Amino acid sequence: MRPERMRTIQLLCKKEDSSRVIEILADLKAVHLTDHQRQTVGKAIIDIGTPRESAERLSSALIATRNLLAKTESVKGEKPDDGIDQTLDDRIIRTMVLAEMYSTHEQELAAAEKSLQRLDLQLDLLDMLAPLESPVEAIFAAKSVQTIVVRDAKPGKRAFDIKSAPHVILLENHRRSAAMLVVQKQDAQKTKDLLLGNSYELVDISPLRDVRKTPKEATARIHAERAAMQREHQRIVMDIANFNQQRNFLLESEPIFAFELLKAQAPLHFGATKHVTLVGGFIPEKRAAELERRIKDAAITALVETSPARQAPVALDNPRYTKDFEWLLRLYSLPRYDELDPTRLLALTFPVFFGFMLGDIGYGLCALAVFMLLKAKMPKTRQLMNIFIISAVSTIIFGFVYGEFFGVSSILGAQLPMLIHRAEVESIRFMFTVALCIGLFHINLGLLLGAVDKMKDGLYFVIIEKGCWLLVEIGLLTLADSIHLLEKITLFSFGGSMFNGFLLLGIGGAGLWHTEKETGVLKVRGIIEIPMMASNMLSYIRLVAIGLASVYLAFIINQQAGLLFAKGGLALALGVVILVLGHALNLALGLLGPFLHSLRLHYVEFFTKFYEGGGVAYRPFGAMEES
Amino acid sequence: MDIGTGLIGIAAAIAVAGSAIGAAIAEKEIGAAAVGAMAEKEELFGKGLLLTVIPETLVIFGLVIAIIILGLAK
Repeated sequence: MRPERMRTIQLLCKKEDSSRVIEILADLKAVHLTDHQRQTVGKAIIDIGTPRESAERLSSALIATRNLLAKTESVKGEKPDDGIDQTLDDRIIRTMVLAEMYSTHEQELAAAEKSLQRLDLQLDLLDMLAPLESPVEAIFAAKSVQTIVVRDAKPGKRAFDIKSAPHVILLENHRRSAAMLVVQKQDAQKTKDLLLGNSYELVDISPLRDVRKTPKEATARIHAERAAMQREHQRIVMDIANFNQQRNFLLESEPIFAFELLKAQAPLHFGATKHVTLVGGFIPEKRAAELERRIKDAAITALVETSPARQAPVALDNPRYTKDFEWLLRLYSLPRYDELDPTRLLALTFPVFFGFMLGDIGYGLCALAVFMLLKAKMPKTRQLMNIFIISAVSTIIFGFVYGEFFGVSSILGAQLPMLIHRAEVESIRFMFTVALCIGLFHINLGLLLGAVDKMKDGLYFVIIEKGCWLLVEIGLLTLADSIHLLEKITLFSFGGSMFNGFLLLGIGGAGLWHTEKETGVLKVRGIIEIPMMASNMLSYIRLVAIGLASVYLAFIINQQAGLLFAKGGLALALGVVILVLGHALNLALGLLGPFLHSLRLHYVEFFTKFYEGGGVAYRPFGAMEES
Repeated sequence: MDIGTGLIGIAAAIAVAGSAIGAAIAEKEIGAAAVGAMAEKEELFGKGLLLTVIPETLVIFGLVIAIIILGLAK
C-alpha cells in the first residue's frame, strides 16, 4: 500500500557518449530526471550542459508545425500518418518550407483585402459624385483652390444653409445628396470650420486622387477592377485551404519533433564539465537493472550508482481494479513517497457510501446505462466513468437491501425483498445507528492508518496519541448520552454520566498535550481539535439524511403522478411527463449529492486522520504526456 | 398544545437556524478564498476543502442544543 519503490541514480559518462546515453534514457522511459544545480567543487565548476545543436532547428520546426495546425482546419478522416517515410532532416525542411509558403499566402491575402477595401471606398465616393459631369482629376488639378464635399443627409435646423452659398454644386442622386464647394486655398480651413460648426459632415475625397475620367466612366472601370481583385482573393483563399491537405504530415511530425527536441534539450538537466556528463535522477527499483544492462550492452564506459531513495517522485502502484480510484486521490493530492497510498481503501468504502445513500435499483440501472454510454463516447474520462459504474452497481445492491425501485417498494404488485425499509419513521433511529457505527469504524480506521504510518516515530508516542483520540471519542459519546442525545438519535444508550464524559475528555486531552511535538502555545494543537472530532462523528449522519431526501422526493413524484393517472385522459399524459422529468431530476441530484458527500467524508473525516499529501508526480524522461 | 410547547419548538428552530446561518456565512468567505487559491495552485484543493468545512462544528453545537431544548417539552 505504498507508492512504487524508487532508487536514486547517478550516472557519469564521457561527454562524447552523452548523446548515446540520452538515446538509451529516452527509449527506456523510466528515469525521472532531477535538474542539476550549478555547483562548485573545490576549483571546478560543474555547470548545466548545453543543448545539442539541433535543438534550435527542432524548436522552430515544432513551433511552425503547431502554428500551422492551429491555423488550418481539421479535415474529416485525418490521421497522424502521411504514408511517406522521411528522415528527420527532410521532415524539418519540408515543415519550414510549408510555413514559409503559408506565411506568403497570408500576406497576399491581407494585401488583397486591403485593395478590395480601397476599391469599395472609391466606388462609394464615385457614387456620391455621380451627377458630376466633369472628369474627376479636375477636382485635384487646380493648385490654388480646394474642393470641399459635404454630405447633406440630415435635414436639420442650421444657422447657415449650404444651398444658399454662392458657387455651390448640388449633387442629387436618387439615393443620396451631397454638395460640393470650390474655395480659395487660403479660405479652405475657415470654410471647413464653418461647415463643421453647422453640423455638416465633411467627406474625405482623397482616395479618388488617381481616378481618371468622369465619375460615371470611372465607376464602370473600377467595377471591373474590383471583380478581378475579388477573383484573386478567392484564389488565395483556396490556396490557403489547400494547406489542410498537409495536416496528416503535420500531425505525424508534431510528436516526432517534440520527442527529438526533448532529447536535444536533455543536457540542460545534466551537469557537465569539459569531459564528463553527470546525470542524476530516480528510477523505479524494478527497472534499475535494465538500465545498467542497456548501458553495458551499448559498450559505453559509464559509472552508474544507485541507492534506495528516501524521498522520491511518486508513481502510484495499484492493482487494475482499484486503479480508477486514483482519479479521486489525484483530485486531492498525491501521497508523499514515504506515506501510505489509500487508493485501495477508497475503492472499498467510496462505492459503499455511495450505494448506502442512493440505494435504488431503478436509479442504479439508469446510472449504469448512462455512464457506460458516456464512457464509450468520451474515452478520456474513462477513470471517472469507471468509478461511477462501480458506484452504480453498489447502488443496485443497496437497492435490493432497501427494496426500492424508483422510490416504490413493489413492481407490478410483486413485493420487492427488503432488509430495511428505510422510509419508515421507525427505521430512522436504526439507520442513524448504522451510520454512526460506519462513522466510528471509518474514523478509527483512519486513526489506525495514522498509527501505522507514524510507527517510525516510536511505538510509545503512537499508542498514547491514538489511544487518547479513542478516549476522546468515548468521552464525547458519554457526554452525548448524559444529555440524552444518544438515545434520541440512536437505538442505544449506556447510562453515561457527564462526569465520566468530562473525565475521559480530560484524560484524553492531557495525553494529547503530552504527545504534542510542538512547544509553547501550539501545544494545544491536539486539544482544540476535540470539537472537530465531535463534528466528524456526527458528520456521518449525512449518509442517512441524503438518502432519505432522495427517497421522499421519489415518493412524492410517484404520488403526484399516481393522482394524475387516476384521472385519465390528458392528465395521463401530464402524469407521464411529471414521472419522467421528476425521476430524471431526482437521478441527477442523486448522482451529484452522494458523490460529493461520499468524497467529502473521505477527504475531511478520513484523510485528516493520517494523510498529508503533497507528493511530486513521477515523470519519466522520454514518456510524452498527453497535453 | 399549549403555547409553552410552541415556544419550545420555536426555540429549537432558532437554535438550529442561527447556527446554520452563522456557519453558512463563515463558509461563504472561506470557500470563496479557497476557490481563489485553488485557481492559482491546484494542489491546495485538499487544504482548501478542509478549511472550508471547519465551521460545521457550529452546526453540530446548534443541533445538540436544539435536541436538549426539545427534550424539555413534556
